[in-house]
Amino acid sequence: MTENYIKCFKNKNFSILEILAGELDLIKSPTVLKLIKNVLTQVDHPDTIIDLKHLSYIDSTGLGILIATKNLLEKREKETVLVCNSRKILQVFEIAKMHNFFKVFETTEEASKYFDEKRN
Amino acid sequence: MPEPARHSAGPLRLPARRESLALVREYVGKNLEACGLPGDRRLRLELAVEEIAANIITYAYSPAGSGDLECGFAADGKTAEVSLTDWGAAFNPLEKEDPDLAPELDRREPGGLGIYLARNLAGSCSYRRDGGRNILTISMPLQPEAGSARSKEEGA
Repeated sequence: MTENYIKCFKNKNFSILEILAGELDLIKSPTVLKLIKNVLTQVDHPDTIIDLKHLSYIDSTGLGILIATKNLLEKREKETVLVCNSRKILQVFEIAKMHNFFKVFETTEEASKYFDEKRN
Repeated sequence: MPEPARHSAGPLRLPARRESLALVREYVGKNLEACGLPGDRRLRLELAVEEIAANIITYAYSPAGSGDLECGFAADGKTAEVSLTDWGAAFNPLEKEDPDLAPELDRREPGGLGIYLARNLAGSCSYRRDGGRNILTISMPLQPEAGSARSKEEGA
């Protein structure tokens, strides 16, 4: 079920967009992007943590989704950060120089703390 | 560490469609396993192959047209080589300019990332046009070069 590709939680200071799809590749990425766009247009979306802890594979189409999401939220002056602790995925980020573009945290707790401190 | 094996496999020819990507991934993974390429470089080569295969599936044939994608594999005990062939218009992805990855570009777009990733993930890439075919070969040494940053990383 494609609905199970993402899950969104809203918090006082931020929201968490959890990517449940195990792979962000040419096959799943178009659906995941559509679902994310639906979520972002349905609510007044605050700063956002994209949680990639379930992700085992990402290719350039998946990186494109992260960039597109960040660009969408940036237009509304909202920040996007990533949660990822997979060495495989982090290696792809490094090659694509994504670390220049996103703050990346190892856990959702660290990312939550970042947004809580930003607000307070 | 066991000696890397010599290994080759018959080509896999498939329709250039998104559904074929999983079969390309399986073919490459199985053959890399057989020749003993270790984890880190195996991941890099698999991803490089997938990026080029995805590029063929998306762009090699006109939207209304269709065609095939062929994947080949060979390892000579020193290097693993994966070749990707299509019958589309001549296109050398290695001549494509790198995308601008500057962080200050708030309109940074993902276009061109796939080829850039493939070039940077692989040990080396080469292209030739032969009899109406685009043939891209992606190589990776089976053993890390002694003293290289990558070999230290893999040994860690």
